[in-house]
Amino acid sequence: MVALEKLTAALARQHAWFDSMRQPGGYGGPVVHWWQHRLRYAGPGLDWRYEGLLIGYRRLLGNGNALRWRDRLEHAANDLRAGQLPSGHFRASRFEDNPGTLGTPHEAAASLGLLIACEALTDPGLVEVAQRNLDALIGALGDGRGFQDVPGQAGRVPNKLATFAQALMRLAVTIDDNRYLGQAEAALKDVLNLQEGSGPWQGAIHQYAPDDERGDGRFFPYYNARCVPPLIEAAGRFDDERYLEAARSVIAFLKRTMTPDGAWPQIVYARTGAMRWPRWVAGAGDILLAFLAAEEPLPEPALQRLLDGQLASGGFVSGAGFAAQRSQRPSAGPPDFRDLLPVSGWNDKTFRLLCELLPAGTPLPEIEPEPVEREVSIGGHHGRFFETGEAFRLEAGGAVHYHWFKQLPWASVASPTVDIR
Amino acid sequence: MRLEHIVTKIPGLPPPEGAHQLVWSYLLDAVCADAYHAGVQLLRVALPSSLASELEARTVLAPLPTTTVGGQQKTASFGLAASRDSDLRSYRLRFGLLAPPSLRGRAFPASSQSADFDLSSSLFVYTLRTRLLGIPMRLFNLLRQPLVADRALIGLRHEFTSERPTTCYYILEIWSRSKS
Repeated sequence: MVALEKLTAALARQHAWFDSMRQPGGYGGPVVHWWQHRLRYAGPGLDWRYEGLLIGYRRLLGNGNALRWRDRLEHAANDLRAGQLPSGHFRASRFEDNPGTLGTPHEAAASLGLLIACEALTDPGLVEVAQRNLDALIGALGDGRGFQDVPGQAGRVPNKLATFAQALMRLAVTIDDNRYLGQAEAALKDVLNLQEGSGPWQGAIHQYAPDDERGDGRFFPYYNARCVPPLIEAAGRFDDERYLEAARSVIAFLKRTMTPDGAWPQIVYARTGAMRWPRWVAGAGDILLAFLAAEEPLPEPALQRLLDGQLASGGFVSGAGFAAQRSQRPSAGPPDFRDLLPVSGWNDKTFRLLCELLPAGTPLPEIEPEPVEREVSIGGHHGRFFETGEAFRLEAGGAVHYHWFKQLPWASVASPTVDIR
Repeated sequence: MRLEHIVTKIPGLPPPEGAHQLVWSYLLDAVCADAYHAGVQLLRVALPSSLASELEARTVLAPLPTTTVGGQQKTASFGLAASRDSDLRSYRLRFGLLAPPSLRGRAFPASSQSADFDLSSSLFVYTLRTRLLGIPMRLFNLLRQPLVADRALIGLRHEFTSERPTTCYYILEIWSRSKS
């Protein structure tokens, strides 16, 4: 287990980093992801970054300096309120596809964070924000049998359904309305249906199903992990062992697919092969959170790898091996710039985990973030990544490839070499 | 930045779905980011209604830059909206060889810019290489070989745009008012 001193220093530094990522409207910054990247738009994202942020700051309320944490909690909650559209959806809620709206699972994740934050906030209007959002999602995605991923298309995405179900369960309890429990069960039904019950991939949950019956044969360890906390909550809420068994089976799959150095491949395929790169660092916080939720010991190499990924600025790097995403052959040399970029919507996963690991009542030290200067690879060329409290910058071959001032919604420079989606 | 969206039909223009959704994310981001950093206060856009929410999302979140000049509003135009004397920028959409015949070779606005503007950058979007990589992606999806299909998808995204002239579907030109 991580030493307390190291944990508190990491958390204090990351909190300071998050403060540097705030701009009018909320927490901003570029996004790198397996599906696509979004570097030019770096404005506020009312997406799943608010799940980890709100739950994390809610946890910190009991750890001394409560005024500071309450301030952050209220600001984050009010970001969602201010960014709610008349439709109930949130602005810029699609993360890697921002500033689009109706992001899944992003809106449900943000509403889940908001409902948990409301345990400590007295403003009843905030619960209404979450309820309006979840009602809008039910209306947009419900098809009478369950919930689609895109309005009007039958496809199911189990990990998103799990997050949605968890938010609905929280809402049902918060406002004492059992109608939402029925909706949560409908969402969870497809999660259970799309889990492999036997064979080499027993326990793994398919990433996607074009209908609500047949999975696509792609298993993402990361997204499997995100199903675990909702399944465990469902086991208690519905007093149904099937959900607990499903969660345990996912954990067994995660144990089987972990690499010796504590990482996970991006995708394993049912028929053959794996997409080994990129591997998450900051996002691995969600995988470790699944172990924590299942009351399993945290895999030591994975926790160590995560903590080693913190930059001097306090942000955690996104991953490793983005340069090999296409070839699947990692090369020697400095990391790809996308590996190093700290992203709010990945850092919240680590933040939430570290807050969970912090013993109650432990105060955090005041730590000043430091500037970062690291060698990186940019489109195959050697370059440098700089981060200060005010900006991100990437340079290679005497040219600036990326420049984003943290207070602004758009990067001032995003060359086509880095602006790949 | 204030948005004035003049809803306009462009016959033959595909709806912003699938690959064309990605296209418009590049085009609108390039326009809105440039306008923001140029200090544009009013962006006049003449494009189809299907792009309204995407346009609104990109302008509403951006606070007004602090730069102002002598009380005159700084403006810019995109699509079919004709340039005005007050424009700092003119964003011109052209269609390349991969566009359907009804659009191929056309430009919005149709006329090239006056001597008051200089071409500051061009972006070539939805390239031939992308279209070619789409073939194995669809084929291997049909053959239920998602690993190969996923690798084709990643390659496709890497080749989606170019700053250098290349065979493509869309071309965005950014014209800046001359300093003189």
